[in-house]
Amino acid sequence: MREFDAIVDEHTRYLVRIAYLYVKNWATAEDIVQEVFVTYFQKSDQFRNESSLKTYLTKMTANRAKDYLRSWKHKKDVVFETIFAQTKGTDEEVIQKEHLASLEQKLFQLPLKYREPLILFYYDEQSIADIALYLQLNENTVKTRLRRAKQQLKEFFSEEGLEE
Amino acid sequence: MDPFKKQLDEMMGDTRLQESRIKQRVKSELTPTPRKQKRSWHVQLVTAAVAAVAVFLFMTAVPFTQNSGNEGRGAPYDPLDDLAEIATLQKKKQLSTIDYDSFAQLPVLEQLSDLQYVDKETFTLAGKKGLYHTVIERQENLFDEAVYEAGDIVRTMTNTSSHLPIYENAYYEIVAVPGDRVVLQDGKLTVNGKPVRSELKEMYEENGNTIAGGYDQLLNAREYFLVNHFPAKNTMQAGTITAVHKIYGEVVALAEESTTTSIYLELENDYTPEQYFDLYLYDQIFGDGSISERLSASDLPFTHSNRLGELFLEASYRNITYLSDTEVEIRYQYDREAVGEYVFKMYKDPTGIWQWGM
Repeated sequence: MREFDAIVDEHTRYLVRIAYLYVKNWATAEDIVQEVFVTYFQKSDQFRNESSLKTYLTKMTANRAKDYLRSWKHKKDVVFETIFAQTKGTDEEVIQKEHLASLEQKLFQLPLKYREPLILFYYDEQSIADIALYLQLNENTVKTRLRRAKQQLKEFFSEEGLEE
Repeated sequence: MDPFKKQLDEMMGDTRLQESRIKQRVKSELTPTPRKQKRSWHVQLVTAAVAAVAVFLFMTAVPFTQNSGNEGRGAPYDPLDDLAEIATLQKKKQLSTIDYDSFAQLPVLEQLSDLQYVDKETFTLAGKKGLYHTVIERQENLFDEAVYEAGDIVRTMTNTSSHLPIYENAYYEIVAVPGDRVVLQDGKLTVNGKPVRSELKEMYEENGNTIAGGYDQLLNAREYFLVNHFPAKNTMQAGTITAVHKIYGEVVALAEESTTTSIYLELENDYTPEQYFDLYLYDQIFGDGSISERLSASDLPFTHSNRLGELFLEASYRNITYLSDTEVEIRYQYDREAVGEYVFKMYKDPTGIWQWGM
């Protein structure tokens, strides 16, 4: 049980965030991570230590999130725009919240083919080569998609970040 | 930490509640539950009898000739059996029911990139003013890598009576990609041995749709398997293996007629020769020919008119060379043995518009 606690405590926060960045729905992200852990603990003998546990669980999470996004059920669901409650606070806080709301809106407007390299590169901190391998694309395609994604979100990157 | 990652973390906020719920649910799922009590023998007998009756009813109620692809081994599927029905529905525009509001989540672009174009059809969205078009994106390297993924919504234009595909002006969904093995028999579709996502099946079942076409095929590097994304209720649909050069790009965004800048929405004189060339092809393929007439410096018919669609889709394979201020050469180069190059010329007219010419 100690091992169970250690693994769940260490990885849940990260995995539920990765899942959310794919599916834009906290309840679905929770379901996905729950499934990932249950599968892992039931079949942990299949984990061969070829990569770190974090990498293994992240890939399982990303794959399940993509399965969900591809599902017709998801596509039929009406996704309501997040309505942000009226915020009381200092001007600076309000501006910051509006900035993050705008990031969320624009991020989820990106088609998955552009959003996914962005998540993997900036949030999961994978290299271009690793992303290309995982997505079965060539590196130039990954770079192109990353560039287009950044172009759509240019206001959230510094000038230097855009030139990378 | 990378500043963008930091912004993403702040955007997602505090997730402690989600984390504790996940831990609790995983723990309870992994905790063994007491074994269920054995059912008594007569309950089992009744259960078995119900199943037997159900099988009997199924076998007698379901006609095994409902699809032409279900004759089994030795009786190959003949698409022509279904073609007539599908073609009739297509001609009467009864094959699809397009739910444009499902596109409302797509971004509305202010400007289109070089590989993007708009669908000619216009539509309105609930609660929004203005006329919208879908923005379709042609793919780079379409002959050199898998450019679409399962779940992508694509625009199709093929209209042939030689085999099943009849899906002119329709939105289809990619179900399988190069390297996948597709088996479609008796209306049952599997990809790589697994039934296609149950939601798809569910949607088609709810809609009363059947998928015609018998296949057991490993998709080659240029083939995708498509089904209609908006099937009309109670119709037979053509599940089709389609070559990449017959897929007219992916639906990626929306354009609003009065706010989006695009040569496809308004012909002006400040576009590049390549964009005028694209518009020329676009009008020849989708339009009535009036724009391409305006964009033609010659009375002669377009050379390679049998490859209009391909030339439009292969936009990323072409290079532009300025021969003078008023003349450019457009050259399609595929860098493959035994694949020829195509060369075209464009000339700038006195109003600043570039025209195709010999």
